[in-house]
Amino acid sequence: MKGKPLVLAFLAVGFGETVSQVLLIRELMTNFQGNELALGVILANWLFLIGVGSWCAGRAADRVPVGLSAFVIIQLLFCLILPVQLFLARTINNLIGVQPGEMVGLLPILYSSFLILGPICVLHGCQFALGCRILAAGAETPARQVGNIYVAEALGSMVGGAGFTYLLVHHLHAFEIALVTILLNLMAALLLLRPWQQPEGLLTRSLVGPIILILGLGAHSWLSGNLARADQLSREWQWTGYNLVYHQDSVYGNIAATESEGQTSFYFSGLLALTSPDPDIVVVEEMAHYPLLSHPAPRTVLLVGGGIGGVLDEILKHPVESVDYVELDPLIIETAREYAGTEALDDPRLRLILTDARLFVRDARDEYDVVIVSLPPPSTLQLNRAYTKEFFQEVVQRLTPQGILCFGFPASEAYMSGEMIEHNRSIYETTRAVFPHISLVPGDWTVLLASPSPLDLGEIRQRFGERDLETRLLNAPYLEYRLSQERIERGLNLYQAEEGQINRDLRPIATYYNLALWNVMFYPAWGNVFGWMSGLNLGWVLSPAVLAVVVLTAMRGKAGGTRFHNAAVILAIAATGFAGMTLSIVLMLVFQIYQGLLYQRIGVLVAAFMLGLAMGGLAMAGSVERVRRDVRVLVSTEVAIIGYAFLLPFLVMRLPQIADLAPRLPREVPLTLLNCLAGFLVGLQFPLANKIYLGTTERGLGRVAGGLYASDLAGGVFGALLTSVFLIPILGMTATCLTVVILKLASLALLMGAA
Amino acid sequence: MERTELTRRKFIRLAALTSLAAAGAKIGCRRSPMSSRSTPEPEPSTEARHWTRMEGKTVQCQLCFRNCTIREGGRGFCGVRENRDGTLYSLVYGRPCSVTPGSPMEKLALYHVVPGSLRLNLATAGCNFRCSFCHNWEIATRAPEEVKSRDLSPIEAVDVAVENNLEFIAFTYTEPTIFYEYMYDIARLARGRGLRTLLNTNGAMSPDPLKQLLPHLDAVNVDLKAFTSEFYQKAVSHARMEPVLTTLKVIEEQGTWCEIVNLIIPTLNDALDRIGEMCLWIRDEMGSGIPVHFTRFFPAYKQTRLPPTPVETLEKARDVALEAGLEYVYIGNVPGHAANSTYCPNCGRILIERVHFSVLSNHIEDGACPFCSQPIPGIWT
Ligand code: SF4
Repeated sequence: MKGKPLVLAFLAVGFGETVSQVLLIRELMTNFQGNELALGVILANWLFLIGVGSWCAGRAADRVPVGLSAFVIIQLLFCLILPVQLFLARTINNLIGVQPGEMVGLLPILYSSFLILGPICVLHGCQFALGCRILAAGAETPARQVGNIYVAEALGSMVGGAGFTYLLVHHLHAFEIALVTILLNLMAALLLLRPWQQPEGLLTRSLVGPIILILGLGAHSWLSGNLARADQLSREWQWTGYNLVYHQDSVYGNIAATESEGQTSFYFSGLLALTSPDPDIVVVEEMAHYPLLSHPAPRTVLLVGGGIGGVLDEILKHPVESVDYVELDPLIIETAREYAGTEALDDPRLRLILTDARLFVRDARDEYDVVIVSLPPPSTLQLNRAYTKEFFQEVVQRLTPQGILCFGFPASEAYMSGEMIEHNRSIYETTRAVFPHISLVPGDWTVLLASPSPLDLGEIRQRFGERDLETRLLNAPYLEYRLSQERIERGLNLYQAEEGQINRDLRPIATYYNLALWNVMFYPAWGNVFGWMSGLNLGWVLSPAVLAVVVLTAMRGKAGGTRFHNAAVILAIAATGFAGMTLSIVLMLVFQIYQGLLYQRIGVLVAAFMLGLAMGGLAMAGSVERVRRDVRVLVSTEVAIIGYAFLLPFLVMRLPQIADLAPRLPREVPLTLLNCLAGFLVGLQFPLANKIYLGTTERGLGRVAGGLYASDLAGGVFGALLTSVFLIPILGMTATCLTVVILKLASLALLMGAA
Repeated sequence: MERTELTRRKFIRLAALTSLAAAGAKIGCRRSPMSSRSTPEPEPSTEARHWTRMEGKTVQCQLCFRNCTIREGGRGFCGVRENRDGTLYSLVYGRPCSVTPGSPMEKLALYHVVPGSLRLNLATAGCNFRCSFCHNWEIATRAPEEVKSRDLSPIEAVDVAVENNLEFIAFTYTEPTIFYEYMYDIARLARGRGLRTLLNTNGAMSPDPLKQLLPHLDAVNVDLKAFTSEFYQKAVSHARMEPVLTTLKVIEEQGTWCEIVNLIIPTLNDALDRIGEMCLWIRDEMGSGIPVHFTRFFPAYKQTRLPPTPVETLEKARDVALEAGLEYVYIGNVPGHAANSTYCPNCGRILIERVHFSVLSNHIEDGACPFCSQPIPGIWT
């Protein structure tokens, strides 16, 4: 009777979970100038807290009789807390006493995201365990009911993810999106209580009033403009000390502009991107003129990123015929036009291309004399794509025989730390793996030039005189100093002294070095940890896995069959949680590499995984009560996941060929299907594990479902923390998938031992 | 029978698993991407100077305003001065981490010292300040053992300058106060071999050691970070401003050539009224002939979100300084800005034309303006 509305309510819960996750994490990432490590910590916190909520509520639910009203109260709390947490997430830097403009280290990120996410996540966890308990109470098929909830939540998440990316973010600001979520949840709550059917119980009846009150309040604050004011106020607090003149969310993040004394500064997702009208003249002039002066007669130029920051103006000072300028987010160009009045954007020689640079270079037909990549260092996996061997190979294809690739990276004239040398050396080595001729201009901003033909930087000085450029910084004595043969050789020697690690698409080691560099800024002593972790190999995963299997199996005799059996089920679910998280991170990375535009499609990817999860759950929930030899079935799902993880790298390597086989098929289809399949396999396990566990224990359903859910999430926590920071960058994609294989093999061995 | 069956099956299963996983491990194994970092124990190089014994084996360092009380086995705030058995040692004597020959004089922001000349830069690890906007945090915030340093005795340091045909040795990057003994010995030796020495300091050295050092130095550049104690307290990790002002007065008394740098950081120290007060103080205490450099901030270290200083702010600061009567006021870190050059305070003609740290022309003759004979203070030859 109460089953259907409750399952429906979980659609709203799932929706609310995903949307609040995206909203809060986006704010936190903007404030913390997030990189992969920050994201990993935040995600891990998220999963951990939900796990805590689910575990606690599960235990409580078995002790006290809970009814619908408890569930509705939690839903109400969620609705009240979400806007508050959103406000806090945005203004967190003020709360933890960070100076305006100061970057924070990992520890503040850890505890502040814990505090911001805590209430919301714990509530979500509670909802899950409570829902299971309520639905299953007295039901003949408890495992199936839990499965239904799992499925409904996954479906809700899917709708939330897709809805956010395709609809909400384009039309509403964060507080409005939060309100949509709240309204949905309130309506679900009403549906549960059914006030029109004269519900029994004082508590239940007295809840209807508050729900309607909050509904009314929400609607009123939207219509009266209070919501917009909250958005504006929180933004201003977030930018305390700055004169914020513009802010806007896009699919790619947040764009903000501040103004002071005639100078406008632009921030993309919290990162200072450019300053107008006076940029960092040294960087801007060196990045544009060194490559253009190294070329005898540059006609065609490709500029990747950073153009409106001043490089474009410098390029156009040369008598070039065409400049192709690739920028990802159209909003950046619009903002720059409006607030920086960048005249260069109207130059007839300019062709503006609003797309992913990797996609553009891969599919481009034209050839270029000079390619300038003006992007920040590879601090994220997204940025790293412009520093890999594969990218450089694509660039070479587009260069004329005397063409030149140019990019820069921070270094230091005073002292280069081990971390910095390793970071830069990796980039240098990667370039050298593709280009036969490399030279560089060392400095606090080091400019690297690479070409298929020999390079002579001495010619820069001569051509500078000939081309009669109007520059602010460059002049003959400056060039003589910067381009002295001795300095150049000293710089080259530093990077050539040892062999560096090559940065690959599927093994983005430069990102790891960059994280190490960032981290050592706050915690110098951790430098060793990063150095030590960089020795990571599969043996580190293998030995403990084998050891755990051996030890646990040995202990089996003493502990008795049931406990061992249940431990095996829990571990299997935890390993599956890990596998689910890791495989979907791998697939996102691959998608980003082959497809670009991850941010536009991330909704589809998440939705595909969630859809798979829901279908898997649904399929299993439908048949779980009929399944006899359930451990057998669980073992087969284990084998399926292992097979998947084992085959994934091979499939990924063959993706280009697969694309050639069916040229009409949109390129993202295979990856989306793969993601869906991963979700499906993971989803199969949960209802089954529940049934197995329930069959062997006296414990209540709430506790079992809560506990299993928590172990699923615990696996996810490890996946979130380890995969994008350590496993993928250090081991590479193939070995990361093998890590999943090893862990799942271990859990499989335990399960078989138990059977 | 049943039993052995089971065990065997289990054994085979385990063996298969292990070999499979081992094969995987092999694929994943590769050379450690980060070569192991050597962290040598710092040598107890030399006994420190300017400290006293307190009770027991506790000592007090009196080299800078922090006056650290250091217990046996402990180190001072700067991390490079260690109490070993009741004696204070410098851990960085003869252990520079930065030895860079050929850096232009203008980069140090000494505009009135032999324009266009080159120098040798020296620094060791450690610092007695902790600025959130530090450009050299990789060495300034770390202990000696966390930094790659080399052995270079004072004699060898002077040799490096001579070999590279450099006439100047500059102590810079981190705060040279903390490697006082090393600096002092090099400065003395360098003078003996006809070289000149420069100090780039935050001004927080105590007066006594400073007075002893100054006779061996030719020019000093003092970073006056702000004119509010609050800034020193907050942005520089509980530092104080008075010691810096005292340092400036001592330098003025002893007559060593000095230039002042003020890095203007948006929102942190850009209030014009404070800048005005600072300029008046400089004029009254140091005289109007002392060059003052307002330099443009760029995001660094933990301050990556603050924008660069608006050029307008720097120009306003310069106007305020000129109004206060200061005669040589520069804008630094804005390549191509007119206020990067030197003008005659009397006739207003351009005397030294600079772009960033390149000198394009120098008209000063015999320490004076060739157009109106106004003497221009500085070290010109
Ligand atoms: S030099 Fe170092 S040890 Fe001595 S007082 Fe200053 S900070 Fe403390």
